[in-house]
Amino acid sequence: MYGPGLPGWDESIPLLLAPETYNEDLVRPLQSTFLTSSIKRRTTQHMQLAIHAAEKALEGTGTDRSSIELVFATSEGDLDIAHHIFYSLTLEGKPVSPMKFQNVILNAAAGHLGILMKNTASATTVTAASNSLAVGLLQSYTTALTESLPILYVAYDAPSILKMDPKSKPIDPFAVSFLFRPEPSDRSIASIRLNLLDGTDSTPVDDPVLAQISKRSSAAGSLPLLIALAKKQRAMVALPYSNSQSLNIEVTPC
Amino acid sequence: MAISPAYVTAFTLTSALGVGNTATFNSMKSRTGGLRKYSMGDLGCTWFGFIDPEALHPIEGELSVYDNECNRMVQAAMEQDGFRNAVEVAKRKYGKSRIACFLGTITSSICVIEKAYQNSNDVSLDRTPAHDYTHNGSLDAGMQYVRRNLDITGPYATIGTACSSSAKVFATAYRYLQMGLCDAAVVAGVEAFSETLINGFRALGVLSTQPCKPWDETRDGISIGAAAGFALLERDPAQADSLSLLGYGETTDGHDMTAPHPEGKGIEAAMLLALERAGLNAKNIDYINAHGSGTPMNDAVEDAAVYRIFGDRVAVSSTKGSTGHTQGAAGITEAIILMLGMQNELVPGILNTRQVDTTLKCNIALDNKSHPIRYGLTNSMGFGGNNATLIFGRTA
Repeated sequence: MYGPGLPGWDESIPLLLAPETYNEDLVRPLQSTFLTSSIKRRTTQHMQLAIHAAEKALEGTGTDRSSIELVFATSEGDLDIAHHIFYSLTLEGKPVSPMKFQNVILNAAAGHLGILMKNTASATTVTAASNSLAVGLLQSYTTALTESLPILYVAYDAPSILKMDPKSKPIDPFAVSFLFRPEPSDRSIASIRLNLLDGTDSTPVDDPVLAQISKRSSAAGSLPLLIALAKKQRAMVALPYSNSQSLNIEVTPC
Repeated sequence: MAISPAYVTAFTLTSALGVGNTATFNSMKSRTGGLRKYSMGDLGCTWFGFIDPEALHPIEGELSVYDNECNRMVQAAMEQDGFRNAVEVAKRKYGKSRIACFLGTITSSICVIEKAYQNSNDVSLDRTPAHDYTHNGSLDAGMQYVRRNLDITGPYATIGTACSSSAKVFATAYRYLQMGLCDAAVVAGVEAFSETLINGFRALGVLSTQPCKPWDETRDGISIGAAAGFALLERDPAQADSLSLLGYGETTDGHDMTAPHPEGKGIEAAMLLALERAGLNAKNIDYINAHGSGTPMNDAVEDAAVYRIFGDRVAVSSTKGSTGHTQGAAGITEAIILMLGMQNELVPGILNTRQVDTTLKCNIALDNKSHPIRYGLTNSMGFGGNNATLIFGRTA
């Protein structure tokens, strides 16, 4: 995971368990072997968050990076790039940048990661606005179980410099990634069982500061699940899925 | 071992070929393409597949907040070919929370945002114009309009994998049906006219100034088109001769963001996966609707991959010369054209192509052919090296 004051999963576990020690102002730079200066020049924070989180989830798992299937979820494409393109279209000559055009698509992050990993497996990027986390999670779960394959799931959101949506509130850069396997392994943290339920139940975060963080983006909405995983206890976590349904996650520690 | 099929119990396409399946098939049969010359002023011209504006009406009533050109296309499309009625039948049978919806698109209704920028006197690199983003502009807005319009509340996702988006919705729907998360799934692809797509491809140097001519020795790029396509998938057939989704294959190239793998290994793998899932051999396929975008590189790469698997036995054509490249809607556009061909024993020939590139080896259908299609295959290849292949079959 990566978020404000949450620099990675291992480092964040004690913070999630003792939130009085949490400091949201401690921000560490994104670090990934994939994020070379060349890649950073060609990508934006939106894509770099996903690439960073993806590599972290794969570290030490022995997963074949060339064949792991990807499911990515983000609330929107890169809105800074979108703004640049829309503005370019108002200028004489409509000078749209080819680089920005290829990076404005929703699957830009997955595409760049796939190239970096020389990955040739299926890659699916989904969006559902503020429900993207849960929609992507169900997509990953369904794919893992029906295809009997491991899935790397990355949910990520980044702030844009300008507001494309006048009603939008500021968001923090946040990314969470999971390596799902249809069978347990000695590295398994927990098993999850998902269910769609009518209603709009949503598991709250007890700590008020973390609760605010969890509301600032769809990806940050993973905090109730991450806290449950950190506690290593059986738990039921509800995430908003649509206006009329929630995604219920039964968490069982391994 | 073959997967069990999912049945296509309804489908409809609205594109430059016409509104609904009858108009679409008649255009295919008469080889009346839908591309029209589009002037870009000082920037030259291209050819675009517009949907008849007479068919696009304002969205009224409580869903009027979603009124924009893209959703007007959706509104028009869903009224054709008994599609809405098929969804209503499914709702009565299963309940509306058991009807899923998966929609593929690249731009959704960004045409609205583009217009807001163009009409504003107060836009700059550090200032955006005001507009209703939630209902018009957000990539999720189209999905929300479809779900509210059809009043379905099952699982959903908008898939954005560039030009493979509305092929991948079929594979996604299949998996959700298999998991028992839904009993029926609306799959859709929508792409409206946008300056972003026109000028983005122009900036990449792949926007043709003539109607695109896939596989032609003088092919020089794509023509873009608008389309809205819908299909309903269920576990059981609606009737004895229902068409079925038999197999799918999804891969990526891991090579480049815009150029395909130079040997077509990604799309080759997708086709092989689809055949494996369908429990079919190459010789079973009666027709291939290629991605066939009309760029020198794409057609060469796809030709090589198709030839390695199928040789020159099976008829291959691209229908993008007829509809334009409908981008995020290309997958479902071409799946439906394939299905119409299967229903009517018609292999559609490529439009605009006069002389097939002699370096390419596939059996390209330049003219329409009357030919039974028991099993048909369609390819989609998108930015990010994202590939998807679908195989459809007749059960009777």
